[in-house]
Amino acid sequence: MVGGVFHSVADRYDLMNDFMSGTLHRLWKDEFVSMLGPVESPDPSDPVRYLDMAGGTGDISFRIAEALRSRSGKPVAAEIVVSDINPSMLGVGEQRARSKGLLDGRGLPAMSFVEADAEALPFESDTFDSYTIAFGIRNVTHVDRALAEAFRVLRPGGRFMCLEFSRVRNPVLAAAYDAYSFNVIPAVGQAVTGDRDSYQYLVESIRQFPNQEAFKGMIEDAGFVSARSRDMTFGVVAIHSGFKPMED
Amino acid sequence: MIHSRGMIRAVRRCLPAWARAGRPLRSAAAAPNWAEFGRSLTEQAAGHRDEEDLFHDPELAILDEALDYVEEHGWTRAAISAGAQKLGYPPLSHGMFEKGDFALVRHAMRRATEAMASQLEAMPLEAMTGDERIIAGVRARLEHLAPFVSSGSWAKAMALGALPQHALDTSTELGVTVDELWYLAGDRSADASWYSRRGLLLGVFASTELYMLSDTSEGFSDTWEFLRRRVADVSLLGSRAGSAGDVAAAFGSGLSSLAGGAFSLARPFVEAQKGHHSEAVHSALGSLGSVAELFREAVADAAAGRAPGTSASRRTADEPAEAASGAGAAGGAQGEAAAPSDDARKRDSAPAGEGTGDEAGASDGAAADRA
Repeated sequence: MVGGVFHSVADRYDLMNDFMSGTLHRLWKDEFVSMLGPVESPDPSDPVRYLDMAGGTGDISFRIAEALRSRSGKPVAAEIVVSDINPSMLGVGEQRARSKGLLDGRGLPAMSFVEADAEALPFESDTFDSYTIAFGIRNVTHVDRALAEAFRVLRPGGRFMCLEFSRVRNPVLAAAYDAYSFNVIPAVGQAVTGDRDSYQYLVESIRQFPNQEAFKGMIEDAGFVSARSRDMTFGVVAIHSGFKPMED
Repeated sequence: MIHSRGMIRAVRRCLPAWARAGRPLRSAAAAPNWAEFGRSLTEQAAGHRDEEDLFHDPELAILDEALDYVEEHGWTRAAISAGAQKLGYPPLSHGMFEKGDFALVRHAMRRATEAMASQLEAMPLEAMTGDERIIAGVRARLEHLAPFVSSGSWAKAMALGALPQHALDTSTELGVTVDELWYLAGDRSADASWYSRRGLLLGVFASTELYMLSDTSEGFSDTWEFLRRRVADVSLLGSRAGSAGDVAAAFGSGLSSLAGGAFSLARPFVEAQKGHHSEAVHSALGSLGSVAELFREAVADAAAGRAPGTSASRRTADEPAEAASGAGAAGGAQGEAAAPSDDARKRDSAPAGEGTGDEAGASDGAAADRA
């Protein structure tokens, strides 16, 4: 299902995001990466490793790369792995990375693209410093398995961060937001991509996803500590964060 | 939460003496702590600091370490990250600090205030006049930050602190500083002059800090001269100030000159911050939310016939603390009862309000019993 939905919209994904969110999604992603606060390692042989899951079109990973870009052009001791279950999204991302010159390597972190299922990651345990997933975890069938995998591949002290649609808490705004979601978004989707069903799926899946507190509980159940969430735009989206405990 | 215990103490220290005295007297009934009775705030704070054993608090240790990297990385999360890694924590652990780069600025302010308090404590205060104590205190506070001022990075820190999303925290820190200063200088006022004194000193402190930013004289000697003149002005004024208008003007000019001055001195830095506009927007919305929350509570309090700031959500389990200045506090409690509406309004604008006229009145009785 997810595969089919996103195959059909991969090309116009960005355009559609702009239409739907009134370009707010750019601010949400900026803020998400700013909260992550990418840094490089002082030791080039032990780079800081970033995994961006469900990051096909590169929205998050490009921002991380730009945040790490060194002006002097000296090598950056960091690595970004972009993963997506969907090869066509990943293809779009790789192409965009190339055209933006992010794969040249000079003064930029190394970047690789790996097709992977969030519920069964093809990575070794304790190998990443951060695991980010933006507007992706909602589409995973078993969210708890994805969280367990995130926990497994993170190094002790590593950070899990998730950007996802959430619940608008103010009832008046929530009513307006619902009206917009169910009436406007599918229609715009039809007009821009010719695919109404994908966007009907989008707005419905947003309603089915656990709210801020419930999802925070799931993050804690997976073993993360210092879990917290922060609403943006009245809770239309929320940033969730947690840390894998350090070993004692 | 970072510094939660410290925050409770810090907020408590911003309260007028009557409110501070009220709380420990009540908790003392349950668990008497006579050792604390009559000790100054700083003495107690020093005691508590030892108990907490700061060197085992990883967050404080990381921030202390990060101050060494400010020269290299500025007031940034990169500096916090460098400090964390030096201590063996992972590179992205700076994410534990919710306030991000501002956590570092705030930490520097706290350390400076602590240094000021301990330096002042070590001085022969009895042999000094009130003005001399104030001058020594402000100077100690500013000298602690002198290395950052000389390198030009303190202007950037001040600009960060003046951003809308951090303004509340910054004013709280400054409130703690001026309150501590007045306390050490021997002020035990519990009437309206409590506010005017703090407002005036904030003005002195803010203008001196700004003056220092552009002072190139040897050992900041021009700044200390400037400070001496400002304190002299204020002692003249302080004896007369009393109307709410004077106080408001003093507070207002102190804060606005701080914000404006820091911004203009650090403009290039602020320009660079524009990339983070989204963060600013979201945080500003966030602070609007918390202001709205405070307002809502105040309205609820008024509706329930309580004094502001006494709703359950704002009560904090508190550690035993000073029960000093009993007589002064008692006088203040009576003054408070005489003009509740006026004082209530002012208390609303103070960093935090706790304790009601009734409670203070009750502790008044308790204090009288003891005396």
